[in-house]
Parts: sequence; structure tokens; C-alpha cells
Amino acid sequence: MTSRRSPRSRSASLVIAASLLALGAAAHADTSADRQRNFAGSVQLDYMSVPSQARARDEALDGATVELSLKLAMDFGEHTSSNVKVCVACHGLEVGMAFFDLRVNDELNFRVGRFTPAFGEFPLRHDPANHRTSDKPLPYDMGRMLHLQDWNLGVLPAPWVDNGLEINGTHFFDEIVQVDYAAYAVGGPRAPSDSLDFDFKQSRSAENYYIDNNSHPVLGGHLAWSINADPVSFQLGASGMTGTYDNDNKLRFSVLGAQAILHIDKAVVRAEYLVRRTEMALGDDPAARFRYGPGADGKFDPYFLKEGFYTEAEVPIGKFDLVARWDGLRRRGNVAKMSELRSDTGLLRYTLGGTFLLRESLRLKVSGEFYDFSDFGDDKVIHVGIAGPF
Amino acid sequence: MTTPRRARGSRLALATLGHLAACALPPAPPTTLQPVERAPADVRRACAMTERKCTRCHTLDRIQVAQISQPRQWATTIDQMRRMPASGISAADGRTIARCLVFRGFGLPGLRELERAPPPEGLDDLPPLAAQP
Ligand code: HEC
Repeated sequence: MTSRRSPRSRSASLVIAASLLALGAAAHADTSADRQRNFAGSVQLDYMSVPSQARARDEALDGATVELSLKLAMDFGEHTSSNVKVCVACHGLEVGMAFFDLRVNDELNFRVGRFTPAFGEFPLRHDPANHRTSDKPLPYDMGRMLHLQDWNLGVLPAPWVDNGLEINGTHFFDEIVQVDYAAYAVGGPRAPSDSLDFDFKQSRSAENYYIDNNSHPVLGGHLAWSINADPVSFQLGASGMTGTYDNDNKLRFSVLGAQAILHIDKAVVRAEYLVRRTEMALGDDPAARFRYGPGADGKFDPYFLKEGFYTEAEVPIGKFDLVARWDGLRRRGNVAKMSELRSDTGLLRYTLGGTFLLRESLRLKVSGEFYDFSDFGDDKVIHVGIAGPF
Repeated sequence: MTTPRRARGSRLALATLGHLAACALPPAPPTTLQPVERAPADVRRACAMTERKCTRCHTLDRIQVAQISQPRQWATTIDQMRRMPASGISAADGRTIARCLVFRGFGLPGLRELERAPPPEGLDDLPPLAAQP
């Protein structure tokens, strides 16, 4: 047991020590004359309606939600900057960013604090003023999907905010090819001992303190390659994160992601795929806690696999931005005794929508979604909202 | 049971839409950074690039409402964006984009200020105005 833990903690401490040293040296060069402050924010009010249901609350967080973010960016010069962002949404007041960037150069930056570790492409656009639909693509859903509890949200809900350290950088080759990387150690997802899946509420609950529940960081990384031949650009990327999530540091998980994005002038086509393999606690009596029996070998499989994808196209036409999105989730593996899911269950969703620039930066967002569940009745959802940065 | 609720939901959505549509009447918001009045040709080209490169992760609205009080602040913001993963914005692109945004916000004096007191990074090799095509 301990031999599995110690190297992870030891390397994390070493990396932190090395980064702080490098940073101290770099930041020394900045002077007070270089300081600049920038305030920005955004707000979205969204109304989600499930027209087929008298009361949709049992399977969705429908109705009106407000997402507000306030961000202060402080630049101390070439080598040091910090960002603090607070958000108010369904969870109440949250700190979405509170980090320092300690930059040696473009290719080597140390991010320390609370931030969203680099994973995929959407998390960069998670702010409602940044993306065109009211809700997030299913692999990144954080509570606006139908049957969210049955599915326990998406694969990696965005924004995934966590405490830790990230080393990242970007480099251009001949002004055309850009390569980005990031490697990080963060607290990671949480759940009580003996769990079957992540408990996302624990990551947002002061009751459990904002600390790593099992004293062991999860590790992850991101690599992206893009080619920019203005007005066309194409990007490919891969991400991964692995570690343990339960209090006892026993249950393992790994998430992998891939992204491909094509920009043609101001139009864009995006596709992302995420897959998470998660270990479940079998407990003393698996037959009593799982809905489905053991495999052909007589053993219960302790893992389930959750996959998610989205592909979307956005075309701006004057004051309109039109969006068409196709996304889905699939889960394979055993489920809790009371769950209504099959051991191989799927969901596809089709979204058509758009935004319309009302005035200043305020946009009207409207979208219609069709949910095609393998285990529940199909359904439709309408979103009407306004959103904008300020 | 479901019909009145459904009707109520749709009415609410329609009312919201109607209200928002009413708000949508003039002033017509700009959806582009062009045309920049009396802008030199290179600034116009820079603004065309800005429209393309700065709308990959968000709309131009972010730029229109940015609270920028001095030319150098644009250079810093552009640098922050440039360093984001797959931004597609090289250091040279950043310098070009700065010409557009600084000109829009501060005019020629702003561009001159940027050249006189180059910020620590990105814009330090900005050629003088006269040398621009
Ligand atoms: C790679 C994605 C990406 C690109 C390209 C990009 N931005 Fe941003 N921009 C962001 C993100 C992410 C935020 C922060 C939103 C948030 O707070 O979550 C942001 C925020 C901003 C803000 C608000 C201030 C702040 O720091 O939050 C301004 C102003 C801005 N961008 C301007 C620009 C300009 C100018 C360009 C082109 C040079 C640009 N952006 C290109 C991703 C991008």
C-alpha cells in the first residue's frame, strides 16, 4: 500500500519545491512599474423548460439559474501574474480561480493555487459568456442534463476546479505550428470510502473542507498541436488524468480525452471525446449492492467505463451565432442495486440553437434539445437565456 | 395536469423572448471591429486579424467591454490570451492585434505611447508607425 503512495507524494513535493525556486528567481525581475490590474466578469440567466413534464425537478435542475463570475487579473510584469475569480451559481459562492502564474518564458510557466487544470478544449470556454449554448456538452455536464442523478453527470464536469500545481507552456514553430503542454498535480475527485463513483458534491462542499480527501494528488497532463494557416486552423489534442478518488486512497480512476477543432475564418467545428474508467468498491457482499450479477468467471467486475463525446458547429452571421451540436454519453458496467440504468446504457442529444446580440455585450441565447435515452423516455428541452461579459 | 403547466412554461418563455426582443431595438451593437474611422491600412488589416483570432474562445463582446485604461494594458491582455492553449496567436500576431486594439481605444497617440514605452514583452520590437505599410 505505502509503496504505491509515497513516490506520488514525494515527486509532487519535489516538483513544488523546484517550481517555487524557479519562480522566485523569475519574479525577481518584475518591478512595481509593471503592475496592471484588470477586472472582468460575466453573467448568464437561463431558463430551462421541459415542456413534456408537469414537474421535471425529479430528473433535472430545470427552471431559472443564474451564473455570475467576477474576475480580477493582476499582472506584476513579465514573469508573474495572478487571477482570482469568484462565481455564484447553483452551488452558491465558489472560488473558481485563485492562482499565481510564475513564468520563466512562454514555454515554461508554473501555475500554483486553485484553477481548472488543462483538460480538453471546452473547459477553456466554460464561462457562459464564452460558449454559445446555455448548457455544456454532455461529457462536461455539471447539472443541466436530464436524468443527471441517474447518470451522475458527465464524464468530467466543467469547470473542474481544484487546488494544486500545473506546469504549462506554449511554443510556436515558424509562426504556424503551435504546441502546448501541461502537466499537473491536483487534489482530484472525491468520494467517501466504499463508493461506486465520484461524489461531485464533495468537491464543492465546505463541510469536507477544501482539501485533498485522501492526501494523494491525482496527476494529469494535456498536449495540443495546432496548425495555423490564417484564416484556417486545425487543432488536435489529448488529455489524461489518473489517481484515486476515495477517502481511503484505494479506488482508482483514469480519464482520457481527445479533441479536434477546425476553424475556417469565424466558423468552427469542434469534436471532443472523453472516457473514464472508474473502480467501484465491491464491498463485502457485491450481490447485495449491485444490480447485475457476476461475470462468466463468477467474479464481479469492479470497473465501469463512461464515455462522452460532442461535436458542434458554430457559424456567426451578423448579430446571430448559430450552433448545431450532437453529443452523447455511454456507460458500461455494473450499477447500484437501486439504479434504473442498464449495464450498457446510452444517451444521444441533438441541439439546435443560437445567440443574438441584443445590445452592448448582452446576448439572447435560445436552444432546443432532443434527448434520446436508451433507458428512459425520450424528451425535449428548451433553453432561453441572456448572457454577456462585462 | 400537464397542459396548463406546459402552457405556462411556454408563455413565460415567449414573454421573456418578447421582452428581450424589445430590448434588441437600437442602438445596434457592433458585431465587428471594422470599420475603424480614419484608421491606417495596416490597422484595418490588424483588425481583420483580431476579429478572426480573438473569437476562437469567446465572442468579440469580451473585447468591446474590456476595461482597459492604458495602451499597455491591451498588450498585457493580448499576451495572456496568446499564452492560452491552442490560442493560434503567435507573438507577431499579438503585436499586430495590439495595433488594432490600441488604435481603437487610444488612437494614434496610443500607438505612439506604445512605441515610446514598450511593455516588457510582446511589443518590444514594434516597428515605428512610419515604417508600417
Ligand atoms: C484560446 C482561447 C482564447 C483566445 C484565442 C482568446 N481568448 Fe480572451 N479569454 C479567454 C478566456 C478563457 C477568458 C476568461 C474567461 C473566464 O474568466 O473564464 C478570456 C477573457 C478575455 C477578456 C476579459 C478579461 C479577462 O482576463 O478575463 C478579454 C478582454 C479578452 N479575453 C480578450 C481577448 C483578445 C483581445 C483576444 C485576441 C488577442 C482573445 N481574448 C483571444 C480565452 C481566449
